[in-house]
Amino acid sequence: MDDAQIIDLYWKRDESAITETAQKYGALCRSVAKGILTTAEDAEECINDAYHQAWNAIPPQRPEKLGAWMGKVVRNLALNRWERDHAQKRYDGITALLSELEDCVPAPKTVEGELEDQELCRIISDWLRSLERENRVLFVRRYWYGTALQDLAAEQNLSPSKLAQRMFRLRRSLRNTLEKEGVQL
Amino acid sequence: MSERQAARLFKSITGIDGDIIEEALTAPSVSQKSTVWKRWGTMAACLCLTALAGMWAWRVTGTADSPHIPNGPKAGIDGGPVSSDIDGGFYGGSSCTLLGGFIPVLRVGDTLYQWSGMSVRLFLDPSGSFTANGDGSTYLPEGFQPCGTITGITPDRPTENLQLQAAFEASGAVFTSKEHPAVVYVLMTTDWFEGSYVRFVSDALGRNELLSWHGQTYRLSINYDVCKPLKELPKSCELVGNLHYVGEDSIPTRDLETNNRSDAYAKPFEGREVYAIPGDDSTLYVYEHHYWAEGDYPTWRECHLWEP
Repeated sequence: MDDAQIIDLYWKRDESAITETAQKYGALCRSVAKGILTTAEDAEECINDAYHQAWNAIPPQRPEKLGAWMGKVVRNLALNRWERDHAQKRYDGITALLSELEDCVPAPKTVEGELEDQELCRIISDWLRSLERENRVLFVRRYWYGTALQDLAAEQNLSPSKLAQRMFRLRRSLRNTLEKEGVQL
Repeated sequence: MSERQAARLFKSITGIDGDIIEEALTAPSVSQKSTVWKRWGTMAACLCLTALAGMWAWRVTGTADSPHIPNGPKAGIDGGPVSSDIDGGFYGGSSCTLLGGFIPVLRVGDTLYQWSGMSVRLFLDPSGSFTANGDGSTYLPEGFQPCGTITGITPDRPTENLQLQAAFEASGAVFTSKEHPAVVYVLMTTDWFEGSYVRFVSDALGRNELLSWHGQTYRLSINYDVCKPLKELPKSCELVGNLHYVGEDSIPTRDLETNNRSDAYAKPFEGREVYAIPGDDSTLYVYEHHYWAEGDYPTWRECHLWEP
């Protein structure tokens, strides 16, 4: 079933919309949630919350790309839970990802207030679009989908060392872009 | 503080445009596509670009010190400098942007060394594959000592000691080793690579694809076009021994030594079975277990005599 048909089910308040969403995007949602939360039970709870949110949000929303939309909902829910429980050090799923992303934190240059979230998303999207497709896919699969480095290396037919080098250069490139834009996090 | 900032960045990545997210979701993995372009060695990539672009390729100059390192950047397929594929394709075609468009070459004494990549420490993960630290931290192997610092940058082939041919500003300390004359390391202090050890290699290292046997050198490459994987071992083949990895900075000399660390799946070559047809030293066959979407099965890589 394509996305438009699934969204029509939501609009008709047909509960099979959830089943269809789970069938098509369940694996994706699970992968995103587990990349952040690591424990299966918490990831499943997060995903169930995401389906609940989808049911409540559609309508009035009509997402153009349901997979990306569901992924964002799951990611936000998982991150909220991670932040809530991080003090208890319950999860280490994103520890490696955050450690890598510290390379991208720009050196502070101004004393102006923090950039609005939406503006930061735009800057990151624009930077991603400036990359060659392969690098853009690599970055998103690592830092949006949370794909493990060894799985990425296998997918991309790269040796682990070459992948590590490539990811490092991409992070540096993002950092340079954020610094040029005067971003303060 | 830094983790909080990284967390904010991580959250912001959530909100990137949906088409970018979808693109990554639906992009086929490289292993499902032809890897011919990415796996070509320097010479094959040059020939391809020459054929397609009708422009100059690398010229093999045949100098006494380093016969096959090219003479400098020439026009490439998109009008920019030709880049050779030394980094898994990152620099393939016109995408050598982070190095300024061509591969840097460093002169140390009478020898030219070509940029090989950052010296990232690898370790074996629980699955038995080599993997790198995610932070990409680099290191200097034991035995390398400082011999000076980069003296200058040139867009052409370097002619002076410790001069670097590059398209970006670079400086750094250079490290050499008497035990490993085919490799030098530079602790970069500029640009993207600040604080990283970068490895440069001479032609003698054979791009870390060498295997020695009976006084001859063979090419053990993970490039499918160079070392074709066979699903069946030729009938008269016999086991001749197991590979011994001598380190990436060494040149193999004794029987069944190799300076290639791992196969196409990042599994160690150390201990790998090698076969040959008795009386025929033209080809060796190295075992490699092949992993594919349809399942896994044994293969044997055809390794021919090395032609620098």
